[in-house]
Amino acid sequence: MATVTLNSLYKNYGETEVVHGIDLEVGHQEFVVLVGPSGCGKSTTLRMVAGLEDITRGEIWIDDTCVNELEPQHRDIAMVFQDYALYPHMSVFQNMAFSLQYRGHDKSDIRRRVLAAADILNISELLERRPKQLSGGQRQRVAMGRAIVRDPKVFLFDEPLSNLDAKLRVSMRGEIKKLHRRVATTSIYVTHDQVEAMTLADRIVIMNAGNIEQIGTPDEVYSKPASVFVAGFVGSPTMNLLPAELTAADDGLAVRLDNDIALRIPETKRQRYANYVGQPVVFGLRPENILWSPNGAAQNDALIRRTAEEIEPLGSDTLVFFSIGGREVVGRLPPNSVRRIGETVSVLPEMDAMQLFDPASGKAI
Amino acid sequence: MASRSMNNYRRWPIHTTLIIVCTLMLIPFYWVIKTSLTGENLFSYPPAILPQNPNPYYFVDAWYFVPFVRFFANSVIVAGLAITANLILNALAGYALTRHFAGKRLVVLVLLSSMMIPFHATIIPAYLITRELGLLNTHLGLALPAFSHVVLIFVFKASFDAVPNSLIEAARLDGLSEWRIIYKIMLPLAKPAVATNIILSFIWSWNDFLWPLMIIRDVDMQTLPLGLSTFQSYFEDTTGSLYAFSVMVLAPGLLVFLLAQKEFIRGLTSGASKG
Ligand SMILES: Nc1ncnc2c1ncn2[C@@H]1O[C@H](COP(=O)(O)OP(=O)(O)OP(=O)(O)O)[C@@H](O)[C@H]1O
Ligand SMILES: [Mg+2]
Repeated sequence: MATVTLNSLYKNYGETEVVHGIDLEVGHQEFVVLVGPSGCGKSTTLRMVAGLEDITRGEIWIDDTCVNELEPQHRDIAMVFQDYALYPHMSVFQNMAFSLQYRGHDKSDIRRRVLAAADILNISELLERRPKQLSGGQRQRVAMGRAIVRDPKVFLFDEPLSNLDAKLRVSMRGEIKKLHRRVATTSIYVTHDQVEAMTLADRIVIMNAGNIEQIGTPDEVYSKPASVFVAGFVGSPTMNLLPAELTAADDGLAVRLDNDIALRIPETKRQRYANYVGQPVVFGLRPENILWSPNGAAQNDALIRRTAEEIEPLGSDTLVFFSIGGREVVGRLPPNSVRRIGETVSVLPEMDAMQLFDPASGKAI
Repeated sequence: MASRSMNNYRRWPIHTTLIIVCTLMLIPFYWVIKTSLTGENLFSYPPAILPQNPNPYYFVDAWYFVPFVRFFANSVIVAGLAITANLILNALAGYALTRHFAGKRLVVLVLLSSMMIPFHATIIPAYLITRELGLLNTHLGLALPAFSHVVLIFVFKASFDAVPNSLIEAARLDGLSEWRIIYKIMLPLAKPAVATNIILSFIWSWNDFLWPLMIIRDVDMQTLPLGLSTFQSYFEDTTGSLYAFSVMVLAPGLLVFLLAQKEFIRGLTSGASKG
């Protein structure tokens, strides 16, 4: 069993507080990804778990031990660094064996463990090489090998893929996922790449400026973002966010986006939004929930007709940009639905997938 | 090939200059070696460019008529102490200076400004302290003031600074104590700094004259440079033996330098550029 618990964790550098009381529980063998923009405190949080940074306030528990005062080497964790941190003067084998030597393993046990890890990671042929003689991807594997030989309670990763080129990153991402399935170990993984986060995580922790914005499965943070920040961070392109007003329509509620657009809120959501009638809100809708309907014409008053201002063909579909009330909106439409800038786009918003946010707090309503 | 000869062609001015400078610097060396083999008087005219009747007689002479082995052993012991102390103390101090601690700027300031005080200015207090410690006329007393050279601390610091912090953190997670981090990670990655420390502390100790002159009383405790100065009292016509003795004093230094020069030059230029 290995769980990690953070209890209102704070970090100050001198006067500046950079982590503002984080609560998080990482379950046994769970893969949790901390994601957020640069400087939001992900690394700092991870390094506090590792014991490389002092904890200003709060507690970190690994299983039922409070590790605040424990030295890094006694926390039974292994960390994979962004720059891999392989010892340049040692062979791959020695790099992987190094920590075991200081933990009282005998020679044959060390050998067995290193060979097993090398086998899992496909680096058996590289064991005699120096890190300098390896490619970026191979170094990455060695760095992970060094972590798994230890068989620690917790793996920590700090942006382990960010030094790789785009293609290798995708394949290593897959490898890490496979590895976690094979060597199921509680893991905390830091990245600023939301795609990486979505693909790897059992649960995602979205951080912003030293706070946690939302914790949830990839599906949850995608389909039910807890705040404008999350909505604008997850997804590519991200959710369309438009200032709007909630109005009472003849037989229910509607969001007024622009002079000519008032979208009916589906029955199922009326209850939730009833209190906000007459107030400004932020209306959110993902690009894929904007549906192309060239023939939808008159029979539907939700139809939006605008001029295409920009087109980005992606092959499988095309991103079409147009504006509503002066704000840019993007729809993910079928390929070739719109061929030229300046053409008229007719789309239907899929209102079941919409989200409303409170403009003042930024939180979902 | 064409471009290479082009390059060589363009570089001829600098090569010529270097050759001339090298020659000028090597002439005294050559002269010492030549004289050690011929015993020719320094003032003989016209001077012979090539050695006339070279023979090893003066080396034998110097070997037997001063306690060369004794002097040599003293020099080696003192240099050995100095090198060991410099390696250990400077590596520890250099490592400390790569970490953050309260008052670090002050420490650096004190170290740097102490570099500006010449040893001659502190030689009397140094003498008195050595006397209080009862170390006059001992090997330890000879080596003690040279136990740590501030420049060499900074050579280690510069070299350690170039080691990525994540490496140290990885080592810490791997379970190494700070001592082991220095010994197992930092020193192997700072070989040029180690070589620089060895060579310079060796040369400074080996060539030191003033300090041994002050604290050594017995002939038995003299180091080679002292032996060199007292040489003249032993002989009438000393030229050949004196020069032979000089060569014997110089040789170990040259040897150490030649053995470690590659790392040494990297050590002195590290920090100047990455790579
Ligand atoms: N040693 C330090 N001293 C002072 N401030 C620091 C220190 N280390 C980090 N910070 C600050 O703490 C904040 C969080 O840094 P952190 O490294 O955790 O960000 P991050 O989320 O990992 O960002 P990135 O994605 O760029 O790695 C930043 O604003 C940074 O400037
Ligand atoms: Mg970071």
